[in-house]
Amino acid sequence: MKNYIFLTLFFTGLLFTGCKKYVEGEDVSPNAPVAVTEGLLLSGLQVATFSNYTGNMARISSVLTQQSSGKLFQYQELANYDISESTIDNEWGQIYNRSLISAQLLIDKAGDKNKHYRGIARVMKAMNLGLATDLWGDVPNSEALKGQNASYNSAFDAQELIIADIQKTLDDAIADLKSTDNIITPGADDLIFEGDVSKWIMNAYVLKARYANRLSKRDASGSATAALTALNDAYNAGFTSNANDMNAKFGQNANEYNQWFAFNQDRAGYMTMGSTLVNLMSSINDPRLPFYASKDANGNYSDEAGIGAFYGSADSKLPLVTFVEAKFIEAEAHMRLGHGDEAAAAHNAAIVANVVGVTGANDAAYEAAQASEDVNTISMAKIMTHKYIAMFTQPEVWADWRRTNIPALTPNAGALINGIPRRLPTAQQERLYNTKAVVTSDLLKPVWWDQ
Amino acid sequence: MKKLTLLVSMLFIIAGSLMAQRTVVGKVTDASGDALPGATVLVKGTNDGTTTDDNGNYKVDVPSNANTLVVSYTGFNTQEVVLGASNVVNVTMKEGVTLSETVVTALGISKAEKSIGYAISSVDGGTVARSGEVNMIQGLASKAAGVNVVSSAGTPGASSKITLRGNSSFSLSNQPLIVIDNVPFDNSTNTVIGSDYPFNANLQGVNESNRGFDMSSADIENISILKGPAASALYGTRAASGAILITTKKGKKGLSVDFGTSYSFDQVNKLPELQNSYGQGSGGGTLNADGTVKSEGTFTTYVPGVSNGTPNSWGPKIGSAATPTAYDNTGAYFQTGNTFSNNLSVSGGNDKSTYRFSYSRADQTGIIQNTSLERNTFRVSGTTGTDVLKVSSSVAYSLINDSKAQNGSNLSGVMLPLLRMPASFNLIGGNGTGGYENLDGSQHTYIVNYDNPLWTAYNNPNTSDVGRLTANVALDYTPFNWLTLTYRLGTDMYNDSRKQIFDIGTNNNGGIGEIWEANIKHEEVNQDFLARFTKGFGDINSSLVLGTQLNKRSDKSVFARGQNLTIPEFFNLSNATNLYADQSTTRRKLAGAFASLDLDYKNWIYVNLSGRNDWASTFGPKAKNSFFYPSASVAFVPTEIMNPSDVLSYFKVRASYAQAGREPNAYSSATYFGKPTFTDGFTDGISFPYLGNNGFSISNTLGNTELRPEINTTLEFGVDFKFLKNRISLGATYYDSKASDLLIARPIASSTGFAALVANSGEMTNKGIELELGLDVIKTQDFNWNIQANFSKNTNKVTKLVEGVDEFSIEAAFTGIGSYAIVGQPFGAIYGSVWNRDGAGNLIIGANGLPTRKAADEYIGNPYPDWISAIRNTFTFKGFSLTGLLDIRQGGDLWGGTIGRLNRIGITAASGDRTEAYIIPGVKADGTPNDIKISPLAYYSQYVGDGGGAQESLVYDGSWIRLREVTLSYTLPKFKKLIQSASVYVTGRNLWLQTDYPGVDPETSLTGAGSNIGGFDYFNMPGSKSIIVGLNIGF
Repeated sequence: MKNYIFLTLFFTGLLFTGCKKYVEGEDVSPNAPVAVTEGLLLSGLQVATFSNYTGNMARISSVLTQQSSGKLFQYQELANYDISESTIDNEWGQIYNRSLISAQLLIDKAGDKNKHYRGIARVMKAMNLGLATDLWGDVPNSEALKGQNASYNSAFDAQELIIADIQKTLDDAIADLKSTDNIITPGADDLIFEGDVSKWIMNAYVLKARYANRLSKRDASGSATAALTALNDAYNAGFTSNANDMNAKFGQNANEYNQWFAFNQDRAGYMTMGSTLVNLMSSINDPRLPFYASKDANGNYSDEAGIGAFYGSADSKLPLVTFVEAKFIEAEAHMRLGHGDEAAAAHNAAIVANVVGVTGANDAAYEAAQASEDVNTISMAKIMTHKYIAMFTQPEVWADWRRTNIPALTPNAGALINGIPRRLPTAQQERLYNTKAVVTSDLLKPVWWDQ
Repeated sequence: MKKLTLLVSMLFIIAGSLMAQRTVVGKVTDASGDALPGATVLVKGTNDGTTTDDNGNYKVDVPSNANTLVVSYTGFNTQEVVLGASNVVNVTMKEGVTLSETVVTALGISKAEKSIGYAISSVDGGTVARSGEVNMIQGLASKAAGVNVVSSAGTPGASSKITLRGNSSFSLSNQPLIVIDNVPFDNSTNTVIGSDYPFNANLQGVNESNRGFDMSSADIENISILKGPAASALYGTRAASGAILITTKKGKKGLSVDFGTSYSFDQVNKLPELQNSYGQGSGGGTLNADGTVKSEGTFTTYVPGVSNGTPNSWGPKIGSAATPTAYDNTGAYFQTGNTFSNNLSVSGGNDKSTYRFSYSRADQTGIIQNTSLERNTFRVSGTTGTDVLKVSSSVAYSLINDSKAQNGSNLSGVMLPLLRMPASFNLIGGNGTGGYENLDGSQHTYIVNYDNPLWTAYNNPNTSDVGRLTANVALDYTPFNWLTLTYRLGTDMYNDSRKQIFDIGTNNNGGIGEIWEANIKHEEVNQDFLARFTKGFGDINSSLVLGTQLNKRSDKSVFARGQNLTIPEFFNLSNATNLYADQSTTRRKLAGAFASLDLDYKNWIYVNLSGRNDWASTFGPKAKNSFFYPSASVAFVPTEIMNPSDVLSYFKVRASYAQAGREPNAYSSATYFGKPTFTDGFTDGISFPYLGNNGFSISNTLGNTELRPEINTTLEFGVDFKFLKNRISLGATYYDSKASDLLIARPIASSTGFAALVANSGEMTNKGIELELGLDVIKTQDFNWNIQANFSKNTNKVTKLVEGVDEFSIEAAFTGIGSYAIVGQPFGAIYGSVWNRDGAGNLIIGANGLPTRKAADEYIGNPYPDWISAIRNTFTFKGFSLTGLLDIRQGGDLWGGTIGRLNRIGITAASGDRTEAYIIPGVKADGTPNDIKISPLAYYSQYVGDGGGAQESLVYDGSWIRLREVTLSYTLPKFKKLIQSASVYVTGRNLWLQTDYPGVDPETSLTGAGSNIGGFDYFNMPGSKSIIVGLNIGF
């Protein structure tokens, strides 16, 4: 009997060991890596940022500021300011789980060894965090991106703190980009500047100016002074023409298409040019209009036709940070400080640079009419109206309008709410899955810098 | 091929003939002297035999060396009659005392039905074959209690999803394991699309096939449905949702040749009703300043280079100058499809060996032009051996070729551009090929970016070529009469080669032309080793099975895409300038060890105790990869020890308790990096390689090194009765199951940097009852009326998610509408926006006359039925048989996204009513009844349409009553010795459907059998109905 028990135990043990051994060694995926290089992360992060800045969030801004017009299906709903917690869930997700996380992983991976990679990652982080806070106000930051540490609930930080963090991140970025502590450096994997850190430094300063100027409603003169300081640093670093602009780049393959082009192709008729912008440009014979817009069936520029070839072709680049924007920030900041001469000069330079940038040539008549302001004629309305024209396609337009209410816009007929939205609602996923989420669904509630 | 099989069968017939020495005649009767037609009379030890004629008479040739006849008849004890000198032998058969029916249980072990302590349903293979369904899984619809089958569409090869007793897992398969002749048979529904595709691929593409499709139901002898874990646990983790055991037909003594043929006419059974009063255009259905309605709008259509056209049918009245005629475009679009099925089998055997060879072919032409399917299946099986060593083996090969059309949310789909097509537009009004093209070869269409659905059918085909081999061999060694050792080796492998063409000029990606080539390869090897001990101890009989199972599966796919085609009609990747490729390999292994002990006391108390331990490869190196789950069942059969009664002939009480486990999906233990695609939901987005650069980002799903198995615990009770000499039979089962530690890539807020975390994240329960009733209402010599009915009610409830989270999304669907797990609601709940209501439930109407919407989405519907039932009535009169199967589903909500969109664009029949203003019932903000008039446009687009209304308005009850099958058949009298059996029949499939659902047949699924979610209808393919004529003949 003892022998039987022994034998049974022996065979059972053998069987169990065999079964355990049989299943071992198949747990690692052959389909995906567990680690990648800095360069691959950087390319991933940049293309994610292109998508954020030139995709649906840019189009939403464009429709809300009446530069574009929502005509069909979901875009008709957008024109009615019918934006729900699920409408923008995807966009919210992509900022955090595709962009900010990549920036953080790259910052951590590059560390002190490869500071140029880290510097670029910090600029991209500032841009994405900036977009999030401009659209949603208070958003997760200090407790965010900790999923890998089993922390699944992130507090929403006050926008004031987030903007301060953006400034600090940009300062750190500039320090990194100026550093020579690198084992490897970015090259072709930097789709924007191919590793030219001097251009990154200039653009980082302009971003600092953008976020300093963002606080115009909270601190009119302090924000202007800080913006001008940053711009001065940018100019000193060589940001003196359109040549060093930061652009999103696209290509001729379907997976590389400019997203305005792809949208118009896949969603024909959903969105057209906005009559506010078209009428404004027509009224001043703006030479950029044929570049911005295409003609309708009657051969006119109207809200019956879509975007033009300059920004809307398959491989059209789209602006992210520009010399033109820098000049307009300069004009606005000087204007707030009462420096009319400087404001007028910057205003004129911005328009000329943009007309040349878009049309390829100077237009003397137009410059004479629109870009010849002086201390007596310059006004905040002129600066912001021309910035509104020049910044076409950029989400920055919506932020500028919220700060300045220029140009004056009338809410669309048929709107579901009494006014043009001043923010996006909290994403559904944060309401459902983040116990610390602060849910705001009122689209008319201004974000902190808009108060 | 057919010629070859005929030749083979002729050879068998010749080989089977033997010289006879004497001829014996006689009559076979029952105890009361009534003739038994069709009884089998065999000469013992030979292949020779016959069956009795209508008068019970037989005539058989007996070789000189044989001296015994074996006479058998269903329901009677088989008799052996030793021949004497007389050549006339009459046989009186004795009725079987108890119908000791056996059923096939887990691991292929046959057990007496009365000994089983859990619910098991047995379905005759012929019932499935006669359903007229090409898809064997669809053929199981309504055949047994607890079985819910949902077809995704009525198009050739479309998948059908089967679930037993509801859903017990959030993310792992909820479908039962299919086992054919003891070997697992893959029933996956594979969807392959480029991994840069950013959306849920189940929402569009074609209705892929579930691979259960590869089996011909003509080869099925019997199907055992093991519903709960008590029945299926010995099969391991893949049978955690039950198992379906298919026993194929085997050869029997004597030679027989069977041939069946059928021809089916298939048509669309239901479409949404469309209006044909107003044409294409915009501006109609609006309110004039004076409050009257402006019914007619302005005509616009697609004019290349001039106007993009509009999807709206808010245009002028039909009959106006611009819109003179209304066209029946859906009528012109669909055709009468047909299915031609043939099967031939040759089988035979003697005392030691049996063999069977079969060939089946189905040829189908779809209800959509240029869609088709061909299925060829070959199956060879045989057994041989002695009482000590038996060998059995079978090999099957299937070849399936099909051509499908695009479905769902897709501008190159069929239903989207077809149903949206304005009545004023003529589908075939072009002056080029087929009317769907213009003379210059461009598409004839009504809006710039929608494909003409005929163009789609002809120019954007999706083809699939499947070759599948399944083979198994089993050895049974019985060295002692108390021990049998069994070894089984089985393999199942298929290759599916798919091609999707988007011709140049198709709107997908702006007319650049695109080809997808995908190759899917599945390989599985399964080994079982079983030792079966039997021993009696006085009044107790015992049987112990010890076993082990090793299972290895590999799935590989390669996907290649070419864009920017240059040469027309040349659909090869070499014709593309932009090439993309990706690949995927998934390997998994499972090892199991199990024991099962059966005890019975005097044939009236039965006890089973089982346990299985599994080791799975998918847990990752840090987690415990081994888990054990036990089960126990008891059955009492008091009628075995009671005095025999004519009233209560059989009574059984049964109870069981069982657990089943499930391991995680492969590669869930780590967080990987991948090539990302960035999209905002409106375009296919941007992805890598990008401008010549590669790029990666971390997967937005976090892996988990601490996963545990899912455990499903079920308690089940049941009773079975048979009354009045078995004329009435009734089975009732109640079960209560709890699935815990449910695995899912559960959503987490993106502010964590990730979108999901694979984790054990919830619990849900299923409680239900199942009733099966059999009734011989009339049972006479010539006329019989039999009723078979089943009823099942399953109530599923999610009882727990993770801390702090009460609702989460299961699988991405559309923006604004999702499939959710919500605590307190059934799994897969439809989730979307809702209206504001007052305390009495009235809609609160805003100043614009429209109801106001809540900011946060909520539960809005349950896609699973409250109960389902089927009733089959069978009338037989002499050779005639009439059988009808009524299928009833109560509940089962559908999100009618199709109707929502069609209302919005003013093409539904209802929206044709646009001469009066509408007032939505409800109350205004001040509580008074709403009296604000709104335009028909606002009503149909913003209230019952998807133009900003609440999704709750689009949730419809999907209840139905349908005549799933009705068959009239006639069995011909025997014709000499040559024809042993022959019958002709005509079957109607889905001929009658009663439902309030306003879209296509509510038996529909956008996401198909490959997905755990359901209840979505967004331009789904329609269902179909058929009339089938057929003939079966046996030689």
